[in-house]
Amino acid sequence: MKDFLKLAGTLCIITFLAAALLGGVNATTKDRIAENAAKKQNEAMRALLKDAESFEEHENGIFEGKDGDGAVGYCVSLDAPGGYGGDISMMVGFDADGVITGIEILSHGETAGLGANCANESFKSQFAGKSAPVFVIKGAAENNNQFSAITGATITSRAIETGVNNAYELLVEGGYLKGGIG
Amino acid sequence: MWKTFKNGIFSENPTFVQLIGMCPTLAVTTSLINGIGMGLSATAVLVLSNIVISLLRKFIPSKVRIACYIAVIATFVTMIDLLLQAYIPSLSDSLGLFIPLIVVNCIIFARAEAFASKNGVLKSAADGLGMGLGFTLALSVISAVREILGAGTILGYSVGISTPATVMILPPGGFLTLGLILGIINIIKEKKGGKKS
Repeated sequence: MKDFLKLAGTLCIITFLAAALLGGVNATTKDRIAENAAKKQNEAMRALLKDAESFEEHENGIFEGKDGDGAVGYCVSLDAPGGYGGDISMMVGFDADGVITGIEILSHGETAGLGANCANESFKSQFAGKSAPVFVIKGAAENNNQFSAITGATITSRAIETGVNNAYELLVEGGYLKGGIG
Repeated sequence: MWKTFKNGIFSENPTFVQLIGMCPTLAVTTSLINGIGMGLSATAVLVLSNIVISLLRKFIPSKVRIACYIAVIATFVTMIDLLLQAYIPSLSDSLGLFIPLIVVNCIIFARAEAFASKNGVLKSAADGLGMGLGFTLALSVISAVREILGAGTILGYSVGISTPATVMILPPGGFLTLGLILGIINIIKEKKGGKKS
């Protein structure tokens, strides 16, 4: 009986101290972690909508970029499903007419050297000026609705395709843009 | 003390000699910065957990020692995970999933069980530091080879390989690199041994 109390007591003390320590660390880092996430999102939005002076948050991860006169475009923050390493957290920018201004990858779990290339400038930059719905193709894009897949990472490219199109659909459904995905 | 420290780096290197902790070794060594980051994070956990477990070695009853070790190790790993997220977010992004996995890194557990639970605080800290740096050294060597051959870069800077062999930063490249390095180490060891006898 005494033995049993000693075992449980020791474990209890150790886990109690561990919990207290973790609570302390969590309390001190919590704000900073949230700040980092907000900063990252803000930087992405500024890169996508260079003309916007401020951003107003709406539902479904939609951010409206504004300057002195009104809306200059929209950023949609969303998780694109179906990546090779889980969801790809990304942000898609549209101007007021619904033309894509670019994409930013916020976080992903794709394979280094293959799918992870989706975060490279050379891949992301091809989206500027495209119109949704977009389709991924192998080789060079031939029109405004196509973009080139990442070599060796078809699954990642398809996830990005879904992400961009979902972002567009969210804006249309929310009444921010006219048109739809046919 | 010095001998304990050196043991971990060379004669009992956890990766190249003891062959433990293979999961993080193969998984994170796709770029040098990841290898160094993982190695140093694991070293920090290893030193801290060795110190605490050595301090508590007379207090922890042997029947519940495993549960106590896991609680101590998991606490330090979670602390480091949160601190990295707060202060070095870029490293936290690229190491992602692997930091929580330090909890089940058998190097840390093995040192707690085999060394820290039987030795004094300073010796245990030296052992943790040695083993940790040995692990870091091994990860750095493997990840440098893989990054150079597989991505054509080192620490993100190009080394002038125009068509890198992508397979080297994919899982097969990890096995290939590890196997070849172990082979080279064995050749060196055999030559040294041959001279002596």
